[in-house]
Amino acid sequence: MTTERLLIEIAAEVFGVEPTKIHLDMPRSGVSEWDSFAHVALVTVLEERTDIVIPIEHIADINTLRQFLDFRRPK
Amino acid sequence: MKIALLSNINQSQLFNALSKSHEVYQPDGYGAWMTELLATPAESGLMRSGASLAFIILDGEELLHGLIDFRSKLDALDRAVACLADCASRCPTLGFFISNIDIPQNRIQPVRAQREEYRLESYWNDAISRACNDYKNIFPLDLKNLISELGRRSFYSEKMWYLAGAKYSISGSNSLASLVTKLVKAYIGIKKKVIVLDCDNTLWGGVLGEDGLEGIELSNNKEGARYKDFQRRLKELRETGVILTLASKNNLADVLEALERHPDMALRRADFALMEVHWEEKSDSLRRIAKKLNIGLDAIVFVDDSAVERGRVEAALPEVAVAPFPPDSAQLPHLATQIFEEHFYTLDCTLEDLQKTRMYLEGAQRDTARATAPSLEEFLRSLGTTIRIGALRQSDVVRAAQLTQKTNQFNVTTRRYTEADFFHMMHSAEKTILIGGVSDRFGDSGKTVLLVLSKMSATHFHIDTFLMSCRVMGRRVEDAVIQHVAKLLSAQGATLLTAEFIPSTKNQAVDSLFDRLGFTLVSMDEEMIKNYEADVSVIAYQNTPRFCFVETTDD
Repeated sequence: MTTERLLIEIAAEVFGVEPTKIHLDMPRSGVSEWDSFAHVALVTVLEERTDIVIPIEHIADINTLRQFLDFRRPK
Repeated sequence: MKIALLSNINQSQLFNALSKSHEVYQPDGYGAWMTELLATPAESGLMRSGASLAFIILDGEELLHGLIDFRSKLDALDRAVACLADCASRCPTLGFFISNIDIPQNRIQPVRAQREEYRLESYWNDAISRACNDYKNIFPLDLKNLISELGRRSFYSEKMWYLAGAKYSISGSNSLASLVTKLVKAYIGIKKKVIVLDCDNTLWGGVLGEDGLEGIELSNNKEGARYKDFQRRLKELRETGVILTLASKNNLADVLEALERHPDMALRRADFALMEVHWEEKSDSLRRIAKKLNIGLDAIVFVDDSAVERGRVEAALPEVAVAPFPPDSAQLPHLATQIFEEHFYTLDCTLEDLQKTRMYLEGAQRDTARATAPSLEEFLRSLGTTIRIGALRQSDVVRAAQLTQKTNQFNVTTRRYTEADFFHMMHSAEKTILIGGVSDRFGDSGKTVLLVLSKMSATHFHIDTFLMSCRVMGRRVEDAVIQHVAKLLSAQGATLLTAEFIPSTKNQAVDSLFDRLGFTLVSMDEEMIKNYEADVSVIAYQNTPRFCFVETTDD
């Protein structure tokens, strides 16, 4: 499964919505379920289940789901 | 059942996960746990919430935060336990699950310097053990074991802690939610009754019919030990009251020989209540087992290494719980633990639980005697049945609650009560609770009869609950019990005894019980609930054939 696919599934799980409602470019401010707790939850679950690793300093800068993909660990 | 969640750390994820399947009360703000426990009933959110069970999940590090010397840390632990014990004693109808603590070894110190974390964890655990012994409404929650199984790296999350003030990772919180759910089920008493086991490649490695007694893999050491360890776990499962049975496509003589003569067999013939060993379909075996044990198919867990057999049973009998079988048989002993936690989790073990299998075998002998007796009356007279019945004691409370939760067939009103409910009723002047056991020439049934009587007035008593374990049905025990109760009430000056029959999907057997016992049907409503009444002295002194001798256990 691609990282994009996993990202969509994980976001759906964390927000408690259907995967079809998830769009990688939707801004954080536009998603009511994406509160500060959900944001940290997204980070930690992505680190657990994908090749994404986000240093703590960059977490606050992330505003769309697509930005998470910039933190894929290089092979 | 509404549950409460109290913690000294942020439990947002645990709360979210639990809220999917439970009604959960949480106090506002973290750190409020102690205040809630110490507050008076009028001020305590916990007590006003209507929760029946409180889960107290404490983080060890936070409990000892800011304290430097060892003595002051012990004092902090003492204070916390005292607070919990005090609340539990003031709220006997509330159940408390208290976690043990895990204190990660973060402090840098030389190898030989003594680690205080272990000492602090033990100190707390000993204190909680004592509290569980002293209070019937306190239970342990083994958080440390959960963390050990998952590993601290997976269970804790630094990012969660530093950014959200939540110590556990999402998966850590989810696994804790899973444990809490299992404990709630165990508290209510929801569990299955029987495990049906295959033999080849399940209880031993290889195929008995092909490899022979010497060729099967089963030994004390090395590879064969995985099967012996699995058997050991199953034996422990039996000791918690689970009935073990076999369903195997084999020659019965071969299996009996293996059970008797193999030196490394941990399970023997007497550990199995039933053995369906032949070449017919397993789903038919399961149906027969359910019928013989007088249980629903939904009370059965099926274990078989063959995916084909599992698939067949899943398709034919959807109510049966089919256990997943590990592809790696080295994991078999863990499967037993998983099955226990998923389907048979229990908080306490009663004497009846330990003796279930023996009682089943005695029942089989009794059935044979019934089938071969010249008449029913002859059979009943030959049994020499004695009923020992008396007022409920504190030591009977666990069994009484179990009986109300699990008895479905001989149960006129199917009211479910918890241990806390019984504690409450025992101390009420309006309730009389009687519990009794039945023995005959084949054996003792253990405590299997329960009555809850409500005092409506000085002369009027009402039967709120009358139930009997199905293994004592068919011996006219109910006639003797009701007559005995009427005599007791008559001595107290009662003249009117009323009763109800509330139909359920499983209690048709007692639909006309009260009619047969000499009560008059007063009314029946649209839901088919029947109301009965009787003159106490008529019931007490009616001249019906008596097959049972009644003794009182009150001194």
